[in-house]
Order: sequence, then structure tokens, then C-alpha cells
Amino acid sequence: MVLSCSLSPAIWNGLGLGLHPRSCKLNAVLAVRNSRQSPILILCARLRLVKFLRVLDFVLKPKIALAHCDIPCGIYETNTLLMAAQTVVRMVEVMEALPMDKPSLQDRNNFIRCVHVKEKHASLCEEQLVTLWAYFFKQEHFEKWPDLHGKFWKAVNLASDNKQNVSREKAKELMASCREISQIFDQVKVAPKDNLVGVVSDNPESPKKKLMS
Amino acid sequence: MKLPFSVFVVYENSMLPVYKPGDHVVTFNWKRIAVGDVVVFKTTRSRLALAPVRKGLERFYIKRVISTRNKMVYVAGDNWRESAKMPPISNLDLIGKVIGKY
Repeated sequence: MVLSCSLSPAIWNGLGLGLHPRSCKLNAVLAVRNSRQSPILILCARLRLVKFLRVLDFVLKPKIALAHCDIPCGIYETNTLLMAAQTVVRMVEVMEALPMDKPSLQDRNNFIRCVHVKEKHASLCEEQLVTLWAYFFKQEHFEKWPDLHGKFWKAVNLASDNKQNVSREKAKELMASCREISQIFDQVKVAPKDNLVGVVSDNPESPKKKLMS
Repeated sequence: MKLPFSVFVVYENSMLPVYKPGDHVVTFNWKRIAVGDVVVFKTTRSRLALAPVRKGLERFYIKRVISTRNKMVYVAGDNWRESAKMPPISNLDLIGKVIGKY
């Protein structure tokens, strides 16, 4: 702080040394003062020292410090979850219908495509479940529905099982688990804000009705 | 035993306007922190807080200390528009206090 006061504000700022956070007010004052200084002088001083100090990075390799944790967008829906679970069921049905004895090249191609889509949608289902589990549902919801943790745990594991296996029963269990979670979500979810455009979860004409039946 | 200094690169916008993305910061790790300090800490729990994160896979965060209670440190970002709430941090997870940027 003493050093910061003894140096000219332009030089201090030009050195590229950020002031201590507690001295934010001083920082703001200096910023105003600096605005009256020559920008070329500030730039030159900054460039010289930045180049010098960044040599330190060869000795101490800097790690990434995340300033941003997550954007609290508040947009949650279960259509994607239900659609992904339904796709898993459908892919298993299609795979079971393919001929296993002497499959043609076309059949093999279809089989591999089905496996790929099943894998992708099971992963999507898992991701959606984890997002709802971790970010949408709060402590009071878990108190209101004490078995909610168990439901999520079961559903996430079923999504994983469906990636490992081709089983109609497991796929239908996953669909049933996702529907249960979706029903609880519907009881919790409040109406979307007026300024949100494109929210489909509360649209009565959305395909959700079909997926829930 | 911690090293006295560590260096980090700031990533993302939640500490604007003081720390911009791409700023290199130096932390001093042998000092007790106080309210108002900017600190770097690590997360030792996974996203769902179910299992400890393996060594080497920790994530580091930079935030400002807003209060300390019961040996826990409460932190928040300066740019509240892009900073979600963080859970309280244990003293053991703190890396150090930011003393400068370059």
C-alpha cells in the first residue's frame, strides 16, 4: 500500500500489479486518475513488466483458477429426459427386431447405428438426471419426498445399465423411473418467468403428454 | 507444507472488474485470510459431493471472502450476475490469498 502511494498512479497501474482487494476504493480512485494519463505511457509500462513477470510461468506453471462456477439460468425441464428414455426403449425394440442369424450388411449397419443412438440417449438421460438432482431439487424437496434420492440413484444407475446391456426390461424400468421423477418435477416446478421465450415444459401441446402416458 | 507462493490464471468472468479472464495472479499461502480478501481455494468434493476428488483432479476457484463462521469461509464472486452461490469452504481447502496480478 505504501509502495502504491509512493509511485505515480500511472506507473503503478502500468506495472500490471493489481491492487489488494481491500483497496478497491483506492483502485477506483486511481482508475479515475489514470484516465487522465497518457494511455501510451500506461500501455508501455504494462507491456514491459508483463513480459518480465510472465517469465515466472516457466518456473511456476500456473494452474487454472475458475472464477465462474455456473450460470444460474434457472431453466429446467424434463421433456429431454423423457424423450431420451423413450429413445432408449425404442432402440432396444428395433435392435431386437433385427435378424440375428446371417444378418445382411444393411442389418449390421442398422444394428451399429441403433447401439450408437442408444448409447448417446442413455448418456443424455444420465446427464439430465444429474442436472435435476444436483441443481433443481433443493433440500426441502428431499424432505418432502424422502425417497427422491433413491429414485434418482436408481434412475442414474439404470441409465448406465442401459448403456451396458440390451434389455427391454431395463429400458422400461428407466422410462418408469424418469416418469416418476418427471411427475415430482411437475409438482415442484413453478411457472416460468414472463420474459423467457421458448420454454416448452409448460406448453400443454408439448410431446410430454404422450411421453407420460 | 505449502509453498509460500502459487500462481494461477483466472478463467471466466465472475471476478470482474478486478480480475479479468486471462489475468495471472499470485497467491501468498502463509497468511491468515480476512473478510474482503480474494482467495483461491480448491474443491475436494465431486459435483454431487458424493465422493472425494482424486489428487490432481481438484478444481481451483477464485472468489472473495464475505464472512467466516465456525472455521468455515463463505465466498462469493464480485460479478454477481455470473457467479452462482458457492457452499462454505473449509480452511483446509484454501490455497492462499491473492496478493497481485501480472
